[in-house]
Amino acid sequence: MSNSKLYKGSLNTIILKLLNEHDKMYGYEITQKVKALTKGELNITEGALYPALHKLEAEGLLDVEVAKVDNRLRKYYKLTETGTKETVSKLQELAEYIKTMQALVNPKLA
Amino acid sequence: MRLSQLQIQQLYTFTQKHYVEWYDVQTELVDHLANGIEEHLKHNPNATFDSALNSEFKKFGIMGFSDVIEEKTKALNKRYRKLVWKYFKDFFRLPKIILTLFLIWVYYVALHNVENRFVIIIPTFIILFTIPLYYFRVRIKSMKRIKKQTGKKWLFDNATLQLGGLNSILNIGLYCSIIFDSKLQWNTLQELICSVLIISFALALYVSIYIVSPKLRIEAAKQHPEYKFI
Repeated sequence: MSNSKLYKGSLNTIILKLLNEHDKMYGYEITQKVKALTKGELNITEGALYPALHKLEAEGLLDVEVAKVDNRLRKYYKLTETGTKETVSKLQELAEYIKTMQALVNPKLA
Repeated sequence: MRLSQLQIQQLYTFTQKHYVEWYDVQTELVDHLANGIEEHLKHNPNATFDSALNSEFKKFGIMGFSDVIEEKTKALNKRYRKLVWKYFKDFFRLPKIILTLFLIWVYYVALHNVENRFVIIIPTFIILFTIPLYYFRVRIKSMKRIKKQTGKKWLFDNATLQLGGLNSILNIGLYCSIIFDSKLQWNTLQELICSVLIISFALALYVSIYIVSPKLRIEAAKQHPEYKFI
């Protein structure tokens, strides 16, 4: 993950949120989607993305499906039922964090 | 521009040269590199395949693919241990707990009533030592056969070989001096603890070899259609 270490702790939430909005996604697609949504501001590095995906898969939050696309195999990730529930709680956590930081950094807006 | 089959094959060779020997990991990295290269060539039509590949590989950082492999291995082992724990817990819930308690009781009674406890302990350790060894032999043979037939090695296959850490039974030699100390007299509590530990370990071994490992292979076959046909 580049840009800032501040984003690092939110990588899992970003992945879960994206997968919640799409039926299934593959690694490269996730990096491109984040880049597009943040207008290039946030750039998820490959070295951070795959370990995070594999960890979420091991925790049972993601399911995997391999399909042949063009002339190669592609590994798709999608949320499991537990993953969908976890997304809701992770997003709530993130919203609370943003609110707390807002209160600290800019008390007038909080 | 879509990469050709030959270029995809070159990418598999590239990942192999960069110490990714596992086909399930290679597949994901190859697709990622291929997507990156295609995008790169679209924006830089004069660039070559090799220069685009180098530029995409650099994005993985100075550690290259090693972080990905390391984390994937850790994640697989964690998943394995989680599954073993899940099924192991069943042996301490109704109805299976009746069987578990019965086995502990039988072992304890045997241990308590024999004059020399080594008559029970030594065969137990031989069995607990032989089962994983036999399992490793069968699995390694099967992995070698798959590698010979298809040229592929699978990381999850390797993870099932670790038995989620239970293979450490093979380091039992370290504790021999305590376990096999004939001068040390055991009281009832020690005999009971020994029975609980041995039966628990045997159950964990059973869960790993006969429940979790086959389950992971079935799961892998679902994910990778190619594995199914081996």
